[in-house]
Amino acid sequence: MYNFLKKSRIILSLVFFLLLLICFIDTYRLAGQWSDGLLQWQFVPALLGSATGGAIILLFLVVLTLLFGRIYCSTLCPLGTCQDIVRRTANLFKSKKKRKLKYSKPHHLVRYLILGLVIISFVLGSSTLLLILDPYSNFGRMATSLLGPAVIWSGNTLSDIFPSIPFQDYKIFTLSTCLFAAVVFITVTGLSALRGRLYCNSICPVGSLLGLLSKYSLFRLTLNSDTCARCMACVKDCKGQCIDIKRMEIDHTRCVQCHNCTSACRTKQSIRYQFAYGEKKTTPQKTTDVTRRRLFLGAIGGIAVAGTVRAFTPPWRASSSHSKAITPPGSRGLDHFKRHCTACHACVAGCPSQVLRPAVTEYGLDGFMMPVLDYNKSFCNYECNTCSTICPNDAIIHLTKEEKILTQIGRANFMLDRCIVVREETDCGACDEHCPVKAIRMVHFRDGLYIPQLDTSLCIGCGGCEYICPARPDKAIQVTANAEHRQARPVEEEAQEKVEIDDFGF
Amino acid sequence: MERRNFFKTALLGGIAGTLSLKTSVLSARPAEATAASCDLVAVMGGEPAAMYAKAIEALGGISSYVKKGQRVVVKPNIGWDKTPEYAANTNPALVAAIIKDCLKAGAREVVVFDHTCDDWKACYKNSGIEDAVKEAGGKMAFAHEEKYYREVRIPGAKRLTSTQVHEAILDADVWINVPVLKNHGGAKMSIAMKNNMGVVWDRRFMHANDLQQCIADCALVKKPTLNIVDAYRIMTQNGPKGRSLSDVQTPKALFMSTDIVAIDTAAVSFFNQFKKMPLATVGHITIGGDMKIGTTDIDALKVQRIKL
Repeated sequence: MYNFLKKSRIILSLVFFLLLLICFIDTYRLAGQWSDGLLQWQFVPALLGSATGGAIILLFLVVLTLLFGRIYCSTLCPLGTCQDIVRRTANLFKSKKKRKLKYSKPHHLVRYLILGLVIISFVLGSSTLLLILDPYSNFGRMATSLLGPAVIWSGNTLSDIFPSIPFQDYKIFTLSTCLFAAVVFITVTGLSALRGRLYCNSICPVGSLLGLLSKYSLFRLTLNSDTCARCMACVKDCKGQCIDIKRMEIDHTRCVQCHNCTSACRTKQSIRYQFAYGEKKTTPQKTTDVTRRRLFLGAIGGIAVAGTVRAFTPPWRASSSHSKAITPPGSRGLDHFKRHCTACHACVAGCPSQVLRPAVTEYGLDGFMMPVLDYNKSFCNYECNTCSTICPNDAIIHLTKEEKILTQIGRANFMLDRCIVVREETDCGACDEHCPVKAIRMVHFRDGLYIPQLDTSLCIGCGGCEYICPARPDKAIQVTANAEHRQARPVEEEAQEKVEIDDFGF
Repeated sequence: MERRNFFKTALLGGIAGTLSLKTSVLSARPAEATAASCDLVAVMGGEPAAMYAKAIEALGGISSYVKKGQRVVVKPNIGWDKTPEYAANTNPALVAAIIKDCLKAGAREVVVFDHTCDDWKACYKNSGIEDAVKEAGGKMAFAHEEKYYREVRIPGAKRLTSTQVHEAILDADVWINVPVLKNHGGAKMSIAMKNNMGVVWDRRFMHANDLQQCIADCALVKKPTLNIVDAYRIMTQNGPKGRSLSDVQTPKALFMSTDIVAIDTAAVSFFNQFKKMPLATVGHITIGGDMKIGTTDIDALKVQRIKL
């Protein structure tokens, strides 16, 4: 029975992990987009996307936890599985003695302080802390920024041998995000190699929240002090380090339902997973009070931090409002986007033209790593709505193709004195060529030369013009972000009489 | 990377050196040696494949241009993420007809590519050309990354004296230039000479360094064995990408010639029946004439006009 639980957990977690991984590293689109729907089953995306179907998933995850404990943390969370994989691999290189874990005291102060900070700052309008700490988003960033380049590099190496594999440029590389992901990866997996799920039980806000809920779950692990031989087999295998044999207590807030203990128990009956509602709380009442007090402390701290972030934000925002902080079509504008995006980079990984890349300071300090459109190496495909179909957070709300082609994310600006036609007195028209809505037209300038003329009401800000403009050092046409996305004027048919001819004309 | 490229170049150079005599005998000569009864063919009033068949027959048949075992490149315009009705790309039915004919003549392989402006996967797919090529037995080549291009010098060029050109063109025994007839905001017209731009990697350089002269220079990279202009559907306004079906006229015509300047001149005259476009304003064609890449004097040529 208990072996079965552990095995199911391992199989399910690996399946989810691999499917999620595919969403982030399938740069060759071999799997298509069939697995993208899975992203919504993550806790933070479900929470942020609760306006469009996420609420049901969120409810499911909460009920699941209230029934069975932190199953989410051991099965659904990709960062959790990632830690397990690293720990298991690390164990191969450790002596048997070193593999053993032991009970450790909880870090409730840290946990609930962080949780409180995240909740309060989020309620006050900043998702920065959530972005930094959300386990799913961290997993996404690690997969996209650390594994993604490796996949492309391998593919490109193979493309030298097999010409049917297309060579791919990696345009989305952003050093700051790579470093951030690397630091998180080393910290989280390092902790897990040494101390099991220490990250989940002391830092992760989702872990802390679900931990609080699982104190009240119907099914939970119980110790039987009568049959227990105190052999410590369960403790040595407990990733949560939450079994206190001395006091015959289990800290349910830290138990991630991995079921290592139940299958390790030599008496086969001393630690059981069973219906335990209404039974005496294994943690003394005192702790709850402490928890409450700390939550309150956290809340106060959160308000302070959120206030500080807000107070410091305006200059950054001001600098970004007139600039290159172009948010993806479907994100409605800077405010909605910043409120919902946790920078999981599913859209960055999925963008067929690689125009989306993690931001550095384009959005300001509180928008670090959020996807931004960069027209230096690519531009946004006219009829493409891929990012809006991928985003699980509702940061990029789904757009139909008809809506997408009218969504004005920014507007082009033309600087006549930089234009090739003016400077070199030769034809160019590269921008006019690329404009999908003909917001640019070539009009007569002088001596048979034509220059671009811009109608910004038609412009959707796709960046085709900016991307191709050959003027250097500064491009003559550049897109400025719309802080609030607008509706572009629909393209009018330019009626033309159908001409019937009967001759070649020469 | 550098070393590998050096080895590749050295190897290819060696092969080219040993084969050069043979290929020149095979590919450059036959055009003159054939029983082509004219210099330029214009066909009107049929479906793309039928018009192609008539035109190639008038120029001595495909076997005058493609010999057994040769490597052929068919280079259509696939620049834009548009379906065939918009006339932004070459008609896929015409591309398919050419490929089948080349294979029938014994071509070892027929490769198709374009350095697209829009996302290459979307262009290849939505133009209908990828599917048509596969069905006809040809092969699509990648052209979306610099690694598929090689630096070449262009003797006789004025501005574009050296550039990176797609490897398929450089390695081909025969290459057939298959543009679609379009108006063009920057270059005024996009026909055979302009279509040649799709074999070059760095298009921004061309735009920044006298576009019209660079397009003419580009025609000196490697002379197309044949130029076939698709004028089944033509784009008369808002080119080269177009935005709606009202930009399109459907004259159902096709032109074929070995002279890239002459065919562009003829196509512009044809285009003038729909929209005014004096030849003198289309800089690259007149420059092409001045540089003796071909002739703008169509009256001096033997032209065969066929109506179906």
